[in-house]
Amino acid sequence: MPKTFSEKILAKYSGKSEVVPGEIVEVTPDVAMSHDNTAAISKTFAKIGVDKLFDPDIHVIVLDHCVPAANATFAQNHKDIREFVKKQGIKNFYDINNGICHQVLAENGHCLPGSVMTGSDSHTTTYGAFGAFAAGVTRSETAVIMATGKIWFRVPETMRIQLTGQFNSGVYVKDLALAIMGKIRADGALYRAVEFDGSAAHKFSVSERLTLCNMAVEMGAKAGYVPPDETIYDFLKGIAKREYEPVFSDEGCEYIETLDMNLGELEPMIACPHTVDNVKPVSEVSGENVEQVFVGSCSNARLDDLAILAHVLRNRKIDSDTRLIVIPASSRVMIDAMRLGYIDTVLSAGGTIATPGCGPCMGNHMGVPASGEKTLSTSNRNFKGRMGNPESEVFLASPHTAAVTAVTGKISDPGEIPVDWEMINEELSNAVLSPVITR
Amino acid sequence: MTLDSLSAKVNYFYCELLYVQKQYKREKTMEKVIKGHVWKYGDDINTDVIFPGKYTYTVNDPVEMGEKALEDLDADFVGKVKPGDVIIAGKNFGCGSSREQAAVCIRVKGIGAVIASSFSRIYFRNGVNVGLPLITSCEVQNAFEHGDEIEIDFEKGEIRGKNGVFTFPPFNDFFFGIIKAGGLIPYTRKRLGI
Repeated sequence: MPKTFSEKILAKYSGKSEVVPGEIVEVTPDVAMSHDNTAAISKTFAKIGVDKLFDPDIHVIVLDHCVPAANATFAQNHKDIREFVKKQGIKNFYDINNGICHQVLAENGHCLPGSVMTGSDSHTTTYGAFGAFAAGVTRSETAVIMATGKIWFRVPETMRIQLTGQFNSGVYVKDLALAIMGKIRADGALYRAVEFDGSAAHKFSVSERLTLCNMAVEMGAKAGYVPPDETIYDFLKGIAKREYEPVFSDEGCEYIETLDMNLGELEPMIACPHTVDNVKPVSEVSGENVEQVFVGSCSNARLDDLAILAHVLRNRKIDSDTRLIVIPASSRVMIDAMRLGYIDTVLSAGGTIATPGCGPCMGNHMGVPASGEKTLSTSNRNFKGRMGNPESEVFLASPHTAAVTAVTGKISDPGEIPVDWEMINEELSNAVLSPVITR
Repeated sequence: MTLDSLSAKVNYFYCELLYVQKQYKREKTMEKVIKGHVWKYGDDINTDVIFPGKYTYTVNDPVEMGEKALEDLDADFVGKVKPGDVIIAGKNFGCGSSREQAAVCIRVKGIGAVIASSFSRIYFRNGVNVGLPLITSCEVQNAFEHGDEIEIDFEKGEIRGKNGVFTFPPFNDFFFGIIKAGGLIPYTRKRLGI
């Protein structure tokens, strides 16, 4: 019987000939990611009463949620993690100088087609961009993986989103993700694996696939997945941490739902406070004043995002009543952005740059808004209090919409300041460390 | 061995002992029937309003976590919730972050169960793992108001209130095994024979 990607991979990893949706299976993941929460996880691990990790090489730990440490409590967490890493001989440890965990894992070849990956972070779905089965789990579960190497999964139903057509100018993958969310709502893919396929999906760059699979969790998905192809294999050449074997859905397999999206029919979208699925066309809310623009997070802070931002800001100043906080997704992205002059452009336009990491996305530091203030963010969540102040409001949109909004001080359609894609692509092709991003 | 490190070790084993004792008691006393009042909320109650993200790395003690429960959703909750009370919500309860504190914080405040028409998947895992019973039901939302009395019989699979008795299917054996053990950690210890 034809099977979906998730069914095939979970059968393979649980040693069964086949599995069906709803079945509970136990697997050993190839990668178990954790971040600053490793401090709490290591304490839970100690409570289990096992001395040594089942396999230290499964674990990848990245410090990113509050880097550098904002206060003594965060600093102690980081210290505890460094000690734990040393004691347990964990090789894959990325300290505060690397960037956001999801970007760091992608850049360093940890995300591979056909692998099973877990993370004590809801945005672990991001790794589906590489054709991995990647699902967010809880803190305790990573502690149990540390002790036993095992994790349970309910085999998910699979939903297929078929992507065709081409974006109009000013419309991006972020707008597509928001449009899907507006359509199927925040629980539209609950418990499901979401497979993004179709001719348009295979034209997406690695960065664009990462954005798409990152946002899958906001639809309720267990895992996002883009069937891997040459774009992924090329990216992984020379950096893949392990050998890999891609897994694909069989022709004729059973999808619980299929959705068709024509990229050419989309316009710039924005998620309004306080839910990710309160999605409207930007044109409906344009003109609304914002005090802060944040370009960062695991959704949209890669080199292509910063390129769009810089091209909008070139020879311009941001609005005098608006702050612009830019946090590159990783140090690698930041190095490239510096070489290409993007950081210079952001600073010259009146923006600020902070250390690669999660920044103010979940309200830990570096840009928590004041009461009554509105923030337009390129991140993925706008829940009440998300950025650290329940009396503030957060809007979610693409980097282009964010950049134009920073210039005008009001939520603005990206069409007001178009960018030259040919020029951007030429610049990106000269990037030394980051992969070329195509469009 | 210095006095400090000795005292740290003693303290560690004492904490361990308390932890094991607590788990043991919880398992022995896991109630088959709970009784309390209803806290009623809407759809898409996310983990940022259940347990604000800004506390995720600074509040590490479960009792303190309880004091932050539903801070950005319902200011009355922490002061007034009683053991055995039940949260009834709409769809997609617990969406958003994977933070375990969002399940722990209401558990330590005494919430005996959450009933929702659906749960976000990571929240469901967290609920099972911390021993918080989560019941999926689309029937009870209209039968209970905020503050109504409610009784849940886990063995019979019944929710009782002024508007009648509603049934829910028994928990999956696998999940119930974890909940009965007091959560994932005691369950794992048992499995490993520790």
